[in-house]
Amino acid sequence: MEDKIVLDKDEALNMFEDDDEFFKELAETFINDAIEQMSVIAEAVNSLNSKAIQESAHKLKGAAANFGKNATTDTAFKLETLGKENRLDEAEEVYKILVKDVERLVNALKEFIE
Amino acid sequence: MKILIAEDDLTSRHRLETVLTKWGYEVVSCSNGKQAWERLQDTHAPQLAILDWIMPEMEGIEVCRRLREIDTQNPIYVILLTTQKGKENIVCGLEAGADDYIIKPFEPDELQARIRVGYRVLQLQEKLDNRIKDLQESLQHIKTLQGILPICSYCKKIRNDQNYWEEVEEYIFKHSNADFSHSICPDCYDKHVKPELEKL
Repeated sequence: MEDKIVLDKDEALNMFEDDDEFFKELAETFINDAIEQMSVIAEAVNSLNSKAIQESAHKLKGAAANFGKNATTDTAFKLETLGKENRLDEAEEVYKILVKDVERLVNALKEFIE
Repeated sequence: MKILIAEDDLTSRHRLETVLTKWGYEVVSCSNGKQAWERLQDTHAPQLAILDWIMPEMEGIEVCRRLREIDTQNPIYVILLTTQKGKENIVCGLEAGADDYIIKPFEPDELQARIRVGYRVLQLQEKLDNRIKDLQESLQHIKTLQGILPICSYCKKIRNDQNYWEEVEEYIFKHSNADFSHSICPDCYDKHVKPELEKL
């Protein structure tokens, strides 16, 4: 699992047409919003609400995808699929992985900003 | 030029707003489909919309369906922007009424090119609409002069649609592009003008 891509900076920068400032601005938006998004996902997982899991994980997947292909988008997609297929027994475990992936992504983005 | 965007994720919406503003577009930003549907019904609503597929309140695809139910000469050009991949989803999006489809996260060059395609289509649509209006106006004139005109057997006045008798010159002037230059024909000269002159 450790070979997962936390953040491919070159790919991410390429998506911002090498505009460093814009990248940093958007990274800040993501970092601030990720807290709120993760609490919505946690609530959905805790309440075993499959539709809410699907929708909240889908939203986070889209947000993280703005920084290129990364572990957060992959794990969020897994959680989204579990919600869609109503496989709630696996949701808790994938959620825990997602928490770590988001944390790593946020740290990598913070590092880039600084 | 105005573009409406509807995207519930803050980061993606922020990215779209910034990119479009940088390209010189005026952005009308919405965070869900219902808001987008309401804004698109404004009198001066943007003619091009970029809609996320999955959104709270109303999905982008539902906004497409509703827009296509409106009978208009100037339909809004819709680009669906979504992470939904696969041929089935693309077909579903286009059949719901989207004009184009881009997979998220978007490539700036691709998005810009597709927006330009959208504007070309809108310009063609507008030109066609204006041409149709011109033709309809012309046809209106031709129809009026081709129909049966009630004319007075004595004074030659014509009865118009408001049941009012108009001088023939006035009527033809109003209902065609023709105008009159007044003169006197030889017969009328002999019949009307000559006797008057002889009286002097």
